[in-house]
Amino acid sequence: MKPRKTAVPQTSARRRRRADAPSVVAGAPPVEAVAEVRRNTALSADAFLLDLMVDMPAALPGQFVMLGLPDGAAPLLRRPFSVMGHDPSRKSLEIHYSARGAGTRVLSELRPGHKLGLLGPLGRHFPQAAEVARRPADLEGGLAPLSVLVAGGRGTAPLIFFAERARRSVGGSSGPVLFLAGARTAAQLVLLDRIHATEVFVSTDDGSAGKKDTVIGLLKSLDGQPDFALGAAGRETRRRPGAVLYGCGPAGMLRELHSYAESRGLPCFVSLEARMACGLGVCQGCAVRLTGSRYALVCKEGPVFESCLVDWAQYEGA
Amino acid sequence: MSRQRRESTTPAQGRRGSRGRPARSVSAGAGGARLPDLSVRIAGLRLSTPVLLASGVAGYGEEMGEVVDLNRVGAIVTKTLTPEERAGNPPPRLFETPAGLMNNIGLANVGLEGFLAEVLPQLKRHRTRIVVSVGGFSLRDYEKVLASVDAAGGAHAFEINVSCPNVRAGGIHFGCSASRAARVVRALRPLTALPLLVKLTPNVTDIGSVAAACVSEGADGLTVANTYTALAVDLRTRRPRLGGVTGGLSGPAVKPLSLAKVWEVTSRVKAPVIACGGISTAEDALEYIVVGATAVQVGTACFRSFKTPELIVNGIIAYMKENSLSSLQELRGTMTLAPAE
Repeated sequence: MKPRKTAVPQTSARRRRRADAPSVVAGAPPVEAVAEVRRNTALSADAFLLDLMVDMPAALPGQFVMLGLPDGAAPLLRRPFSVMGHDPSRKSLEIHYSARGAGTRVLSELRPGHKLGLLGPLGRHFPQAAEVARRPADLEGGLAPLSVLVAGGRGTAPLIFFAERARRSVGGSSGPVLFLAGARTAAQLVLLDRIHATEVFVSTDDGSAGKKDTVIGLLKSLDGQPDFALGAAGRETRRRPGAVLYGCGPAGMLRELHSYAESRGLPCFVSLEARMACGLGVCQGCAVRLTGSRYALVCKEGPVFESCLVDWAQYEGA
Repeated sequence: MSRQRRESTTPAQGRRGSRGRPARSVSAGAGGARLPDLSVRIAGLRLSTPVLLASGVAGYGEEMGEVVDLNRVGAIVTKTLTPEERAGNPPPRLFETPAGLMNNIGLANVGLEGFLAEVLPQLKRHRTRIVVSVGGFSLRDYEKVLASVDAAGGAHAFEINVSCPNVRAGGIHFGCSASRAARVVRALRPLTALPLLVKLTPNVTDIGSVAAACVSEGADGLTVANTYTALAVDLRTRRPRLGGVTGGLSGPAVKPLSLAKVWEVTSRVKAPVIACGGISTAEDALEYIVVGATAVQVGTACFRSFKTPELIVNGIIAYMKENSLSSLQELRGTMTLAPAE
């Protein structure tokens, strides 16, 4: 299989380019704006869906916004939140969050009409599978690569946005999207109805919904049908370029996802978390360790990183 | 000096309102009323407003320029520059406390070479004043950075950082004793004709004596103060919250503390003081000025909204109008210790 052989050097060359590339953030420059709460819906005991009305340039899947409480209310700093959906024409921005800390608990008490300070859209977005596939699509008869989205716990939001965009791509040019959502228990799988993908798979640690496994276990069980590395898709006669993995979730899950991607030779992009103050790359606070003892700022060079660039022994999440 | 003189004789052209007296831009209404003058002078350096962006929050001006009109601030103080590029300290680097922010960044910066090649040319494009924050781990480091930036041109003043609490050698080591701080100023003073400010640490017993020592060696002004050494512990893991163990505390929590430090310094020396510590409103800034500060720096509050410096400028203008003040000079150091009648 000739293409297989050439795949390795191509991948490493691409990796080198990415590692050396300056932190270019595609998309519109961020704005500071006032966001008004349209709806703040409780999805479970601690999971919420926030619908904001805000005039903000179009966000791309994987990008985030900083949200802050107005005038003197604690907490002091704005907090980063992944964008789950954004429709600039309706000025509608959707954020999914869990009321876990002091800031998000205050957020959970906001009612329609309340106002928040917003900075966004920020950060680097998820690249589309066609841009990163090991072998260009045209070599494979024009078939777009498979996107495999792996979401753990609260990590579903940016991947829902990604799947939504892929679905709306011109003529399905983004290729098929497999969405894997994992949680501890069924009650935490709060956004299943919002996932629009070619196929959706679910796992829970306690087996109360879907496969009783971690989401990484679920991923491993699905590989082969189709084979993610070869992209041989079911009844299709033409071969697809290999799959591209996308991950968002807890640190441990992302670490495992990376190991898996590496073992299968698949490109993998993950969204990382860090405590953040400015969101713009000025305060240098949100550094994570990359391979080669280098630091990168999650707000500017991330939050989306190619997983092979991350020093996983050092990453602990936010 | 010639630059300032030229500027003060520039005719009041409305289209350049953000450069000159900001009062012009609010001249509507109150026909003929005297417009407040927000400009201040620090050792010959004229700032169009008394509100500066503190070191570390403005980066090198470029990143923030996307969301802030940098020309509405009196000056930008750059992220502290050291001779070599620094990656910074291990994460986590930030932890929020009630009304405060702890940081342990560790002077992450591009280094002298990168600064001169890439940052300084960008900074020069702004009309606002540029204060370059100078750091180092030895006297030689400070000398090298200051002399190189001075030679390159483009900076309007220097702020000597002898107060970073997050690096092992250098930094705060120099700022913790009057004699060591004096030694730094003595070494740097002959190397530049530009205003030389020294950013002091509040983590000392007698900040007044450190300030006096700096001034006696030729410092033109003092920035009071850097952050307060602080510690936070995660009870679950019993580990420090920050990768570098301790960090520097900033934000509204430290305002009363730094207000006292500014009072100590202005009671001791005549040189202008730039207050820095928890300023997030015009009232905060005005309190510092009443205690004796000439100008103020805004830091942590920018992370809540990058419009904060502009709102503070607007608030100061409103206060001056309300109290019929034509210049901030009339307000500076007017705190009275006598009990109210």
